[in-house]
Amino acid sequence: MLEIRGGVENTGEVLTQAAQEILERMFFLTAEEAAPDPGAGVAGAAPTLVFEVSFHGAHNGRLRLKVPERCAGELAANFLGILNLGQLGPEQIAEVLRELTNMTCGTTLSRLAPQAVFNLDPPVLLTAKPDVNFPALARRLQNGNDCIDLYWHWDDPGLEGAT
Amino acid sequence: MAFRVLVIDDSPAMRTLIRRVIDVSGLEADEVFEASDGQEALELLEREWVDVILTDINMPRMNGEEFVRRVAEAGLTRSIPIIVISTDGTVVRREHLKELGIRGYLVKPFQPEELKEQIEKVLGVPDA
Repeated sequence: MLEIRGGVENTGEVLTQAAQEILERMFFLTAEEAAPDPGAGVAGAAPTLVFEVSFHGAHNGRLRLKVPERCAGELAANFLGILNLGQLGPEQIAEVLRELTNMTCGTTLSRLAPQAVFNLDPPVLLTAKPDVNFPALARRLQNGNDCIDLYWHWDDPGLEGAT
Repeated sequence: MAFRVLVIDDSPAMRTLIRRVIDVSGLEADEVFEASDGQEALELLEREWVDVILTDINMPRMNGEEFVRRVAEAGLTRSIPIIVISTDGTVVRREHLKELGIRGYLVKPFQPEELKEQIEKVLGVPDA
């Protein structure tokens, strides 16, 4: 098993930095780290979209990303360079958020284990109500009133200290 | 300098973004072709000539690494430069793809200027 750079406890910090960098560079959005979702799950009161990507290779695991619907539209518009939010359909918004999930996961893995090889499954929009007991390391980024929640889970028993 | 480019990515959103970056960067692309995986790209290359290929790695059906291998086996990597655009910045993947003959590697997230510079470099634009 390959070593995680900075140790498995470094996962949260690397995940946060990767997400902030992606949001800033490709979505033109500055987000500050905030206290994690107190529920520690993925079910929220406001309408949200939850995406998940699984990865396999030197280590296995999953990343979930939870975004309020309103914020998802704004992110998609920024990414695609569309000024009028009304021009965006749900599938376009979902495509952009799938890409955000994919980039966040891939960037995090590359920085945690640069000597390893990983393969990512296509990200999916979770349509069923996600389980609230998903064991995960939780991080929250805040932009104005909107919060983007990230949940990282290592499947490998040896890495469970990060969750 | 006008050129024809093939963008390979399973994400329609990322293909749209790359097309937009090319449009606004001042690069004079005559034509921007799109493919959603390596297999579709190989089929397109049987009927269209392109000057540069931009490809993702993680894709269903045929991933970017297999696509680069097939292009290399066909002896095309010398005449058609390939730039990989991926979130995968791992050393092993980069080195392996360089051995297969790719000319550039751009890690997401990237700035639009970085993509422009990579394209100009492989196309041999002066002062790039």
